[in-house]
Amino acid sequence: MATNNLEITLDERQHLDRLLSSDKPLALTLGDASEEKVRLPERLKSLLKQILRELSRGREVAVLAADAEMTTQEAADYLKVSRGYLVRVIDRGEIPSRMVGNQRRLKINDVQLYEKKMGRIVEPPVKMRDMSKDMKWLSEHRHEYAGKWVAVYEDRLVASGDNAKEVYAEVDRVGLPQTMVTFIEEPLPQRKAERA
Amino acid sequence: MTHQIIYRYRLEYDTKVAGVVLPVMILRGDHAEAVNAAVDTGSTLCVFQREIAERLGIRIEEGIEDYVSAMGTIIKVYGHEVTLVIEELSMDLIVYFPAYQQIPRNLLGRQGFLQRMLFGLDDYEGVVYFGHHSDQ
Repeated sequence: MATNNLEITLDERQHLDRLLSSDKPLALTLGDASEEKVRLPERLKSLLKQILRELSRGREVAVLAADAEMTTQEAADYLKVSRGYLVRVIDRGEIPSRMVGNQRRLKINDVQLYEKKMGRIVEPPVKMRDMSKDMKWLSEHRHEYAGKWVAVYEDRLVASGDNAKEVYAEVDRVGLPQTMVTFIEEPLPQRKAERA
Repeated sequence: MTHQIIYRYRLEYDTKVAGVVLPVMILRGDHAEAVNAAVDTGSTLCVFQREIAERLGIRIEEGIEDYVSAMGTIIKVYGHEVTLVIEELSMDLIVYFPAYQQIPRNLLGRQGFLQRMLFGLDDYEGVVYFGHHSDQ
């Protein structure tokens, strides 16, 4: 598996982004030689845009054939985990592998799927409000609304109902941001000893 | 021998409810929903209610097919990429939604969630501490 780091400035990226967003056909030219010009397939635009988007997020980009395979070391490097950890993951059956001689090979598609499943810490896209009052309200009113859907905003009930749809409809109507909507479970029957 | 782990975040939870239930935000595209979810160390996957997927505009059956075992039954689920926010900690991960069944609560399982964080539980006080490995 070969990868190349590509550094691209903000100006270059914006320029390329504008070109790739254009409706006009995209062509590749070798230097100033107009006879060395080839029109690129339209499908390539979206791929190039995707590469630019990932680069602008500071991520490394590697272009690989979908059916290509990796060694365990290459996959460990790609996932940024130790090879030992990756081998345990494979042994648990979380990534399929096949043996080539005495070495394991992993399909890139399988490694990428595992990467998605692993999750990734990111910058929070929204600031979550303090929901401690909402949780306190739920704790205090749980028995009144058992078996129902409720919408709560801080220390007030916004809506309640037997199904989520009608509760969400009321949430949309009221329009408070980050209204908490949850189903309140029926309490378990008390044990005999507790009832006695 | 003693051990020290640094947790950046602390949340109190309701000890009168079964399990450790925390407020979280689930996001997909421009949609964001505030919900409750129970931390479940016994669950491999994060599984959320169908209603939330519908709210987020997710076509459930177009996701990654998988199965979870819950209370003696096997539930077919479909996974979709979403963002979860809990306090100031945020992660992109795959959350699964049931194909048919109604489930009473959302579950925060190991894959993508617990695997990604350090988690400390003080059930006596009803407090969870959590953070990321890089906080050490």
